[in-house]
Amino acid sequence: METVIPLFEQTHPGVKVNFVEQPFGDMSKKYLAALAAKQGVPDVIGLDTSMVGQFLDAGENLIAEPYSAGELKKDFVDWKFNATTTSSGQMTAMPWDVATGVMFYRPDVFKSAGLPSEPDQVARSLATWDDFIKAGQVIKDKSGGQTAIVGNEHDIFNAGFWQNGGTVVQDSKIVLVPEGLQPLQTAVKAKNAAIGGNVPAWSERWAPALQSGKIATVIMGGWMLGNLQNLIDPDGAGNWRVTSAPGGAFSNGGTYIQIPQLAEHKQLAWEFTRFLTTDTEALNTVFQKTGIVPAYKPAWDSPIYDQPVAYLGGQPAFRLMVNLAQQVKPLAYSAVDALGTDLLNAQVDLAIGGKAAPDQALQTAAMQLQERAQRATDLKLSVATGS
Amino acid sequence: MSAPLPVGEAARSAGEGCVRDQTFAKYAPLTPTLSQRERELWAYAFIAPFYVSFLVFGVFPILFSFYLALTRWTPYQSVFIGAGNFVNLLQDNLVHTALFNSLWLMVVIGVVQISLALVIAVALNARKLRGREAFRGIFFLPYITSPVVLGLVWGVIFAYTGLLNYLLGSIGIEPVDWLGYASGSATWIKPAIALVTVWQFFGWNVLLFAAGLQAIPSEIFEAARIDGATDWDVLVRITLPLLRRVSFFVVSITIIGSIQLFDAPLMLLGGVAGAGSGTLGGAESGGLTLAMLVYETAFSYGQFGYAAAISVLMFGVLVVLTVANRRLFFRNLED
Repeated sequence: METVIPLFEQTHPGVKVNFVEQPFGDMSKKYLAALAAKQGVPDVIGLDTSMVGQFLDAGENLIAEPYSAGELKKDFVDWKFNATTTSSGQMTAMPWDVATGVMFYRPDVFKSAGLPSEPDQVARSLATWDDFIKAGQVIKDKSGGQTAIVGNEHDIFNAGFWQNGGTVVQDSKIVLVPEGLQPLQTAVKAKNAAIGGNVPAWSERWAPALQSGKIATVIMGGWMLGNLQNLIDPDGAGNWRVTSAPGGAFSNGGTYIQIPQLAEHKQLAWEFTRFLTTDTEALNTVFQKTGIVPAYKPAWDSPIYDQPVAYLGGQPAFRLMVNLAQQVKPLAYSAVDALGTDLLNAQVDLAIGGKAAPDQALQTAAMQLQERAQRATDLKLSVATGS
Repeated sequence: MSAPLPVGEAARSAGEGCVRDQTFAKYAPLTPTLSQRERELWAYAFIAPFYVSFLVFGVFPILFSFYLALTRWTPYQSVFIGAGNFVNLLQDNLVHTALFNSLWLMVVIGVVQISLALVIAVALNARKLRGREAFRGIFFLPYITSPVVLGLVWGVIFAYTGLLNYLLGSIGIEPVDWLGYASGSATWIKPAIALVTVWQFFGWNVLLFAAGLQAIPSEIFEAARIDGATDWDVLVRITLPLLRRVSFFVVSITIIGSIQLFDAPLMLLGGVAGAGSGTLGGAESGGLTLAMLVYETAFSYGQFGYAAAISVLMFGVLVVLTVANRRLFFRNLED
């Protein structure tokens, strides 16, 4: 943002953009409070995909006049643009970036276990989750149980769930069961094969385990590159590579830009939003600083996407992310995403822990969500069963 | 006959209406003093800042939350639904779980923390003890530690591959899944939360008990010993009964504190760095307390009306427990 705002202010003399950064965890809570109080609502807000569903009703419909964002649709990654479009044809948040899901891995660990270690080879030999589980067993065996291929099995469920779209509710139907069943079965299988390291992602033990190579992969959004480089493993340049995840492409995170209905300067807000999401120079400046890949396809024509990434041992990683971005399955957001995800996670842990059968656990999460949505918000949802 | 009214030069130069006695005339102020009523007004003005802020930030939100509890209140709608939220509350599994967890934690934390604090306070009160202040300081230290720091440090200690399991392993005990993320089992979550909370607050209770002990006149102990009382007799028949008021206070704040327990479980299980992040109080919601559920319901899910109803439930539980506690402590006494 520090890089983009001056660019915008140059082209709009007299306009001063006041950028307020919020910690990730506070973001949706503060916006929610501001909307509830109808006070202190910003003109433009960036929302993570995990939060955007909750606020779909709060934004201006950008498809309608005077915004007419529909004209821009063809230039955006399809699923990303469609995901915030409701069945009634409203579109209240503009895509900013695609957070393509990939697998970061430690070639040294793969090599010492006798597994292929070059990105293309890894992608081929770990094309499915079954391959992944087998490789995990090899790594466990060869390291005498010291090294795990993945932090914990919940991460496998997450990636698999997102590969199916990762949608909680679509058209008033809770689709957790069909979307989550096969990934949960895979995660349980992985647990039974004991390939995990019992270290939850983002816990205190995670970063040290990644630095030391005790955990060999991270399967998350491409933005993880910036995190590895700057926060988690800053001394690990050259230790990591990236390739497509077992099971294929998925979306993990990413940001949407919304103009709240309560915004004061809507015209300027739209100019800024449009600039932010479609100005190739601005997008690629951000990309170069952070590795955040824009959802606006014309920006990808730049040669900077083919440049080698020093941290990844000179691997040209971004073209891979851009290509994977176009293979993501369609998905949808809903107002109960946050609650649904929490309820789902609790049940997934139960199933992985062997305390519930996968289909039963997902069914429970879906029923709980249905109940709570009806109770607290009077939202009537049906539950889709089977796959 | 009343005293003669002030007359002459002295009274006049001292001003009117304030001097009743000639002998004090020379000390009287030169300007008229305030009337009783004006004095009261000034007093009110001076204490007003507190009461105004208390009304605005304390009383109003409390009353408003009672109103909120009767509405379906989200950022997009505000509909009066009467007792609807409370009807739902009774059938909500998450509320049952949170209520059970909060009561469980209250009982375990209460019993362990108060008995531990009492034993330590009595031991610290022993006459021959050296370094009493140092011990008190050490016990009090966790109380003034930031809950966030506490959560992070204990998160590392309780991690499956963490310090505590390392120590247990070195004496041949299998690792314990304290926070439940390795096995998805909630068995040890509540004990872990209780341990952190006891560790954090027992020092404060030691301090309260120590103050209570020092308030007991030493003559009573001396008289008892002269009459041949053993240490045990002194403790059970003199010390404990005389600590009744302090104990009532300690039990009351422990009940209130543990029903409102929020930061320790959130930091251990639900914070950004927490192991059970995004699972509503960790595995099987084993660490979900009422206060956490209120917070998540309002600020993560945007269901403010329902959250207010849960907080009213919490209030009701506290009222019942506090009244019961008072009955229990003072059933044979008049006060």
